Amino acid sequence: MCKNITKVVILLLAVLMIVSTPAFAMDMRASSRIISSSARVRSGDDSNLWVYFSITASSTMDNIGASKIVIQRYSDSHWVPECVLTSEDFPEIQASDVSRHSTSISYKPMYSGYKYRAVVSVYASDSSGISSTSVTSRHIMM
Amino acid sequence: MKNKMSKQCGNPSNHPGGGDVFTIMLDAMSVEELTDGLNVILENMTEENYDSSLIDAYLAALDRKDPIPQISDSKSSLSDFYQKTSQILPVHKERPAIFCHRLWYIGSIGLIASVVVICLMSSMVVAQAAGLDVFGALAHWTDKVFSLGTIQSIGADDEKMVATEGVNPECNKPNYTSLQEALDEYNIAEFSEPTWFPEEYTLEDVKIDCWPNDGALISIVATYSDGTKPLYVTIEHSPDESYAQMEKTDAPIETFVVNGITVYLLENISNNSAAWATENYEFYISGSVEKQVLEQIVLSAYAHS
Repeated sequence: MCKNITKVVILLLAVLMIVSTPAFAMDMRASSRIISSSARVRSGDDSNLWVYFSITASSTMDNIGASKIVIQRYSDSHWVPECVLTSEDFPEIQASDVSRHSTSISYKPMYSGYKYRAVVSVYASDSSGISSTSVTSRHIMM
Repeated sequence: MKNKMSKQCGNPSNHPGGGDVFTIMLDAMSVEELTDGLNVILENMTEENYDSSLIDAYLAALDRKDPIPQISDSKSSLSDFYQKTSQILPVHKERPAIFCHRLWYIGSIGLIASVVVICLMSSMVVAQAAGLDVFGALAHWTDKVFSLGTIQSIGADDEKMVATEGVNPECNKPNYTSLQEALDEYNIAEFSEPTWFPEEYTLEDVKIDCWPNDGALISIVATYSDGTKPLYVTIEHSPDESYAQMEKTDAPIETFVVNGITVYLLENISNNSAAWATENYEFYISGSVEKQVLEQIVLSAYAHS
């Protein structure tokens, strides 16, 4: 009984160590494909939230852009995802056979009087693999 | 009991008069009379005149008059008890063993589950401490939607979804012949197009991202190329704070100063970057060239001043 529990605990700890390592390594790792990325938001005259992002790669990529844009609202002391925008709905957030891509979209917030921001997941892929990162804009009051 | 009757009815050895007459006389007596008579006999009987057949005759007569209910033996009584109780509560002989085994099994599962929960919570705390918003992502809800993960829907109100507009096309004139032309158009005097690039690099295009009627976003990107690898010169309007994230290795950042401005040289895996800022703009030059080459390019941009 005790031996079995010990085995289970050791196995769990080993799995946790393996899973935790990439989480720490992710921010430390440089990218072989991505040079830079940026994201920013603003409130438009139409009361929409405007989201702009850019990603610059070191060479021409097969695919480059944003895999998703998460619109977050600051509510109850934490950021709540309000909407996730993907390339299925907005193909213009991705491009092919270029080394740099940027675009902006506008989003109508569900609420007014709240802070909003955008978390943009960008990526660049070629025949040898894919590099990805996430960039968060500063917030803006809508 | 039946054997006892047979014995009493068989051969009374010491009774006054004939056995059959005495038996008939006893049978004629009531139960109380027989009980009283037996008590009198027992009180008066001594060791000398003890007559067991007389006592047996009284007992037999009492048994005939008021028989004692049949009493089973202990084994049959126990069996009868089990049979009756099993009709109410089915009893299995192996139940105690199974019950103990189940208790042990449930205890083991509970212990393992507790260990798993503790480990998971510990890892979540570590991840949270490392900067990942684990607890914030466990459960979220709005007025219309609940999710244990991230909410990926705003509910049924599709009208509030999204209207898309690209970067204002008016920002991008199709044919900028030089970076300086774009800088001049946007009245950017803090920086001039570099006059020196490695020989093989030539201007490919100049693109401008901006928001319509708004100076909040002005991003000018001039791309130079040697035919295979691009080299970017980027100017971004940033009146308040930086927006860009530059990828880099953990190699030490080098700096040099030009025109009183500190320029940072960053090293990435397959490219390097130079970065600096003025009051309203950020400047980046990035490409697959050595850092010394980047420094030369920057210096050429400020050579006139």
